[in-house]
Amino acid sequence: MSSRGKKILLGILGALALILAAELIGRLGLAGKAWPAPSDAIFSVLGNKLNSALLFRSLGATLVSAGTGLLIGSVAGVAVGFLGFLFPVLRPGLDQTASILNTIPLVALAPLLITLVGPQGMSVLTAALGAGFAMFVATASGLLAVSPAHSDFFTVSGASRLQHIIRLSLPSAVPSLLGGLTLAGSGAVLGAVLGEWFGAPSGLGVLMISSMQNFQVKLLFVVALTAALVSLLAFYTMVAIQKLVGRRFA
Amino acid sequence: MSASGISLDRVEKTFSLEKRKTFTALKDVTLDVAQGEFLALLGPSGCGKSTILRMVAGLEEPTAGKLAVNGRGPRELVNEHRLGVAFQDHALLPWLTVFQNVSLPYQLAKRPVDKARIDDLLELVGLARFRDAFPRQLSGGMRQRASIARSLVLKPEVLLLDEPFGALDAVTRRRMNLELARIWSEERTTTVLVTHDVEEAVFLAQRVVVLAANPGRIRHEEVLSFDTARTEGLERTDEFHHVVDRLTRMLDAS
Repeated sequence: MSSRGKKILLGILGALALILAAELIGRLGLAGKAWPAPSDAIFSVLGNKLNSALLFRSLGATLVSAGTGLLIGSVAGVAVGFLGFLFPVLRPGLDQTASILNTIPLVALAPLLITLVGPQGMSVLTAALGAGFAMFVATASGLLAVSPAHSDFFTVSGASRLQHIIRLSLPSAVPSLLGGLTLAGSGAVLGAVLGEWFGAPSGLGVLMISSMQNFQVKLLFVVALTAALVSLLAFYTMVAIQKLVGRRFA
Repeated sequence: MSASGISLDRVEKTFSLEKRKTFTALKDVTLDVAQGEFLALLGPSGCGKSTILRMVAGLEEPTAGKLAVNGRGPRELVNEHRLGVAFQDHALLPWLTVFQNVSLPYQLAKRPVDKARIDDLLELVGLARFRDAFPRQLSGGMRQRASIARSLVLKPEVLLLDEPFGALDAVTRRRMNLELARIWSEERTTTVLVTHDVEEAVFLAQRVVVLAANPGRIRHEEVLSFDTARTEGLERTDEFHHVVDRLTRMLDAS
């Protein structure tokens, strides 16, 4: 078996072992009522029309927020990263602002952000922040990832600065941008769910809060699982895009 | 100083290291390359041979002395897109096909792409069948040939070759040298080849300049005038071996 096949098999085995352990703990009641058996939780939520309709409606709302946030954040992140590339004077300031913004816990920033966009706008904003930081870092480092030999070739060929940027720096940044997208995709989903905690009208985050407060443990479990699956799906979609497009630029 | 060809007049190059220390890469280098000449710069690593090439290409400035290419500064030649360079690392763009890579100099010079010229060149370097392949699909030798085709495409006034076959195995390298000799005999461009391979230098060049290190300086010049043409048989002649032996000993001594 190839080493890649072995890795995939090991991954599947590991995931199965975890699911089995969670199932056993739930069935035997080892962790009390707060730990339902996964199979039981999934069947009872999806079997209940009201709950499953609520789940899918919330999922839709979260996907819209995450998608919008991903788009806004990516455009902003790439634009700011490009700005720092065009004007090197700005670079240290932009780097520091971005990392400070990224390291402050969201909970601390939330009151400020809510006054800025209102509770409804929070999920899009936090999704955009999550995606934006990843894309900013990817753009800033990607545009500088030009190989010295390529740069020398452009210089001795008498290339203008604009040609240097368009024909060399931008294509050289593609692998880094694609890498950034894999982080931005799952980051946007995470950001959207978190943002919904601050008073959004609907979404997976809202459902998490309400099911937690009403002690609907099974629903809470399924919502968390859905959020994780969506985040994984976003990640692997971007990885697939990265493989498809990135091969040519690497 | 002559107006045609490349001329270096008492050129010196020092690099500053940390703590105000400097390193003299080249000292008092005076050298003329005539128009249409093939000159090889031969020397051990660290002798500054690549630095000479980078200065002629306008990638580095001499610290002292004068350097002119066909009577003007290297940057002028570059701005007129009259310089061709093939690097040790082929420096082909991985996202472009062989044909697109070779046509890139036209686009950078904002000139219409001469497709016939590119196809002729790809034929000349034996890559006609691979015009639509990407660099990653080619062998190391093929990439170097594509890189040489790219350096020649605009019919440059001056061609600079920085150990273009340095990363290849001995067999491929020999074959590349034969091909380069054939290509050069058709194009006859003023050429400077940097190499540490004595046989390569003697096989290709009309004149070999041997450099010594610490500081980099000219140690010896050898004009080569073989009776035989630069093809298959040359390396097997006694004359060729004599020259190679002598220059090799000189390199060992430096």
